[in-house]
Amino acid sequence: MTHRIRPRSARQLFRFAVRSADDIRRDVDEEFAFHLDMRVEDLMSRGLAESDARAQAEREFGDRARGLRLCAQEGATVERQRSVRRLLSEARQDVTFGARLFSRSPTFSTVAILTLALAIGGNTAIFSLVNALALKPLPVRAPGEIVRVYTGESHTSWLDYQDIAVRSEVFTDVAAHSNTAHALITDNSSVRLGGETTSTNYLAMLGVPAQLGRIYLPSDTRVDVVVLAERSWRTRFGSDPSIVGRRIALSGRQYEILGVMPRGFRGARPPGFVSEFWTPIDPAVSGHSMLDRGRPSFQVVARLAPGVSAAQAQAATQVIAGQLAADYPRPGDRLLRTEVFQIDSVAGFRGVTRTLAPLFAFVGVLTIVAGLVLLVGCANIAGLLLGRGAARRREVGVRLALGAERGRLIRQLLTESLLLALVGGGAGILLAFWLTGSFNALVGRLPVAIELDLTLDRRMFVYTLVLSCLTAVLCGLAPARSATRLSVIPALKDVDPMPRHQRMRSWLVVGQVGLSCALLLWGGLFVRSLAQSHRIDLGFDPADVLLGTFQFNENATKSGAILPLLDNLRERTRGLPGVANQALAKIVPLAFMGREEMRMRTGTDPTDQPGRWVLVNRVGPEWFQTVRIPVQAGRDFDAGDRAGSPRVVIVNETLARQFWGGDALGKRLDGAEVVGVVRDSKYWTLGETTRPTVYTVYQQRPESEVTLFLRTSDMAGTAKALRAEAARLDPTMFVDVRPMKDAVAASLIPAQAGAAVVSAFGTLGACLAMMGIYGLVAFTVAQRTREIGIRKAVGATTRDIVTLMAAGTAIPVGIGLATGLALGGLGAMALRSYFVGVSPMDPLTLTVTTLLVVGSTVAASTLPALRAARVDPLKALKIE
Amino acid sequence: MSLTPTLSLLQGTADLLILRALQGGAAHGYAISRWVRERTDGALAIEDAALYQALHRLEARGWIDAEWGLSENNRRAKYYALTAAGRQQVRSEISIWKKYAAAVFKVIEPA
Repeated sequence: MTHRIRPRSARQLFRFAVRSADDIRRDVDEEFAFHLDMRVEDLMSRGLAESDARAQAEREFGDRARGLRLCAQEGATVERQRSVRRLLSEARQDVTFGARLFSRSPTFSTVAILTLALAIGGNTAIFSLVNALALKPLPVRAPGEIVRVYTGESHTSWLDYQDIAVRSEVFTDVAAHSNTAHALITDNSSVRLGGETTSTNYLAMLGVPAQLGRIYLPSDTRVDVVVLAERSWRTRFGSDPSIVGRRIALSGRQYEILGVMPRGFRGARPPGFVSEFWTPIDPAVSGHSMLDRGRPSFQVVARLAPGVSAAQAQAATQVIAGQLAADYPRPGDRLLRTEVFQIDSVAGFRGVTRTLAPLFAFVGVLTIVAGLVLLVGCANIAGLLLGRGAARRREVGVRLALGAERGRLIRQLLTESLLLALVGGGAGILLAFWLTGSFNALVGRLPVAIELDLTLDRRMFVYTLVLSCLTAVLCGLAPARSATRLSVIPALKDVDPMPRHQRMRSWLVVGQVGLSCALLLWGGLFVRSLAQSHRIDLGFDPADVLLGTFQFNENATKSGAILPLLDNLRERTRGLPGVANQALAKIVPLAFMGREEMRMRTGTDPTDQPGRWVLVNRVGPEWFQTVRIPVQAGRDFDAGDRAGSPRVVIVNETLARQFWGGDALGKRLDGAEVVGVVRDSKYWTLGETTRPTVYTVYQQRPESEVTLFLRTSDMAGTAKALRAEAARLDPTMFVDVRPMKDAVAASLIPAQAGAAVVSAFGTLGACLAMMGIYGLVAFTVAQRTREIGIRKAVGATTRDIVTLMAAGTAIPVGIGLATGLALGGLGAMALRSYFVGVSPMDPLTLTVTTLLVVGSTVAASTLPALRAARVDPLKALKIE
Repeated sequence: MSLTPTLSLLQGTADLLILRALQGGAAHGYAISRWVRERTDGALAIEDAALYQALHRLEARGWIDAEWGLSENNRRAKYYALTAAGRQQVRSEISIWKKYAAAVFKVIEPA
C-alpha cells in the first residue's frame, strides 16, 4: 500500500499542533467542571445533600464565566510561547543537523557555497552602485532640508541670488556656488583641480565641520582662503597634518589653506561628482559676471525653514521671481520659471540626468545581468539539492514512516538551503567588497574626478541578507517539496525511479542554458564592439595632434586680457619645427573634459521661444583643419572673427538638416549668423547618435580653460617646446600637455568596462550552466546504472551507451538554446546604443555563442556518460 | 453548618500559596484548593475562580507547567508542577514574605 502525504499549502510548513481558542476554552471548562464535581463529592461525603453541596461549591467557586474568559486568555499566551519555543528548538536542531551534513560532504558544500558567493556577491556589488547613486543620503547635516533652487533653466545670476536670499522667508539660509577649476602650482609641477567657488555661508549652511582647521564663515571677509577636500589633501599634499595656514598658488593667486573637509564630503553636488576645494567667491576673480543679471552663472541651494515643504518654498520663490522680473526687466522670461526640489532623493539628479543617464542605464543593465546570473546559480543549487534529495530518499522515507510531518521535513530541508545561502551570502559580501574596490580603481582611470561612496553600509547588509533568504527559498523549496513527496514503502526499499526529479532537472537545464546563452551573447557583443570601436569614424583625426590645456583666472578671461597672451603663444608655436596647424578650442571631444549644452533660438527675434537644445564648442580659426573636420559649405572662422566683430557660428550637418532641412548658410542662431557647415563628428561618447552642434568663435567669448591643438610631425619635440614657451610667457601659467589620442582613449573606458563586466558574468553563467548539465547527466547515469549493466550484458557498445545517456540532454539543451538566443536577441536590441559598430544580431557573435553553448554542453554530458559506459555489467547488476 | 469568617487575600498572596502548595509535588487545581483550605483551617479562602486565574497566569510566566493526567477517581484532570524557575521563585517569595511579616510585626507589637 502506498500512502502519499500531500499537504495543500505552504501554510502547513509552519503548522503545529496549535490548539484553537475553542480548544483552550473547552479545556478550561473541563478543568472547572472537574473541580466542582470533586468539591460536591467532598461535601456530600461530609453529609450534605447533593443540591446543597452543589450550591456551596458554586458559591465558593465565584464568577465562573469571568474566570473562564481570563483563564482562556492566559492559556492562549501559554500556547503561543510554547509554539515559538518549539520552532526555535526545531530550528536549532535543523541547523545543527544541516551543518553536520554539509561538513560531511565538503565537495558539495564548497561548490554550492562558491556558486552562491559568486552569484550573490555580484548582485551585492551592483547594488552598492545603486546604493551610492540613488539611496545614500547627501553627507551633510539634515540632508532632507536641503533644496536646490532653480530659476530659469538652472543657474541664477549673483544679483538675483542676493535678492532671493534677502526676500525669501521660507529658507533658513540660501547659498550660491559655481563650479570652477584652478591650476595648483607647486615647486616642480602644476595640476588641474576642479572645485567650487561659493558664497561664504555655503559650507556653514551644509553644516559639516572641517576635519582639520575650519571652514570659512559668513563673518569672514577674506576671500584668499581655500578649504581642501580630503581627497586633494591626501593625493596632493600627502595628508600633511600641519597644512592649515599654509599658502598655496591657485591659477597664479595666493590662497591660505583654512581647513580640510572630511572624506566623502562633496558639497551639495550629486553622487559621483567630486570637488577638490572650496573658495569664497572673489569679486576680484569673478567680479565681471557678478554685476550682470543677464549672466546666470551660479547654482543656488537653500535649507528649508522648519515645517516648510519644497512645494511651499517653490510657490514663495515663484512670487519673488515675479517681483524680480518686474523690477529688472530682461529679455525673455526665463527667470519666471522657478523650481525648488529636495536634493536628497532621486529628484536631486534633475539637471544632471543628461550627463548621468548612460551611467544609470549601464547600472540597470548590470542589475539585470547580475540577476540572471543569480537565477542560473539558483538553478544549479536546486539541481544539486535535487540530487541530494534523491540520495536521501531513504532517510526521508524512514522519517515519514516514523510519523514526521511533511511540513516539518520541508522546513528542515529549507533550513539547510538557508544555511548554504547565508554562508554563500557572507562570502558574497567579501567578494562584493573586493569588486567595488576594483570598480573604484577603474573609475580612477577616468580623466574626470568621479568618486562613488561604495563602502558597505547597513542597507547593503540587509539587501544581501534578503537576497540570500530569497535565494534559499528559490533554490531550496522545489527540491525540498520533491524530496518529501514520495511513497514511503518504495522509498524504504529504494526502488522508486522518481521521474519527477528527472523532469524538474530538465527544466532547470533549459533555464540555465537559456540564461547563460543570453549572457554570453551580450558579453560577446560587448567584446566585439570593443574591437570595432578602434575602427569607428570619429569624424575627426586625433593622430599627430598634441594638446596643451591652459587654465586662466576668470577675471583675466572675462576682461579679454588673456587673448593677447594666447595670440602671443600661437605666434610662438606656429614656427615650431614639425607643426603644421594649430588652433584653440574650449572642449576636447571624447575626452570627458567638459561639455556645453544650451538652448539656442533659431529666429531673429530673441524673445520668441525658449530655443532648442544644442551642443556647443568654442573654437578658434583653423581648428577644423587642425583636427581634420572638413568644412562642407561656407567658410571656417578666420582672424577677422574676433572680439567686437559681428557674431558668427558654424554648425554641423545634423543641425543644418534638423533645423533648416540642410541649407543653413546665412540663417541665424541666437542672433549670430551661420557662416559655415562642417561634417558631423563625435562629441561626448563613441556610441552617441550625432546631435545638433554649434561652434562659436572662442575669441568672441573666451573661457578660462582652453586647449591649444597642435598638428605636428614631432610630438615629443613639440611637447617640450610648448612647455618651454608657456613657461617663458608666464612662469605661473598651468599647462597640461598630452597627445589627443590619449585624451580620446577615455571614451573607450565605458565600452571596456561593459565588455569586461558583462563577459565576466556571461562566462560565469555559462560555467554554472555546464556544471548543471554535468550534474544532470551524472545523476541520470547514477539512476540508471542497473539498466546500463543490463544493456551492456546483452551487447551494447560504449558508443551506444554514451549516445543513449547524452541524448537525454539534447532536448532541454535545444530548447534552452533557442529560448536563450531569442531572449538574448531581444535584450541586445534594447542595449543597441551600447554596441558600437556591431549589429545586435551580429552573425559572428551569434555563431560563436551557439558553438560555445553546444560544445560545452556536449563536453559536460559526455564525461559522465563515458563513465557510465565503463560500468562493469556484473557489478552494476549486483548493486542493490 | 456555620460559615467561618474569612480573611480577604492580600494581592499576590494567591500566587505564593499556589507555588508553596506545589512544592509538595504536582497537583491538580482542586487538590491545591483543598490544601490551602486545610492548611489555613479555612481562615484564608481563595475564591476558586481566582485560584485558576492565578494558575494560568503562573503557567504563562513559566513558573509552573501543566499536563493532563488521570485523577484519583480516574477522571481527566490538569496537573500542575513547578518548573526550575518556579522553584527559584517560591524560595525568593517566601523569604520576602518573612521579612515583610517580621517588619509589620515589629510595628504592631513593639517589643
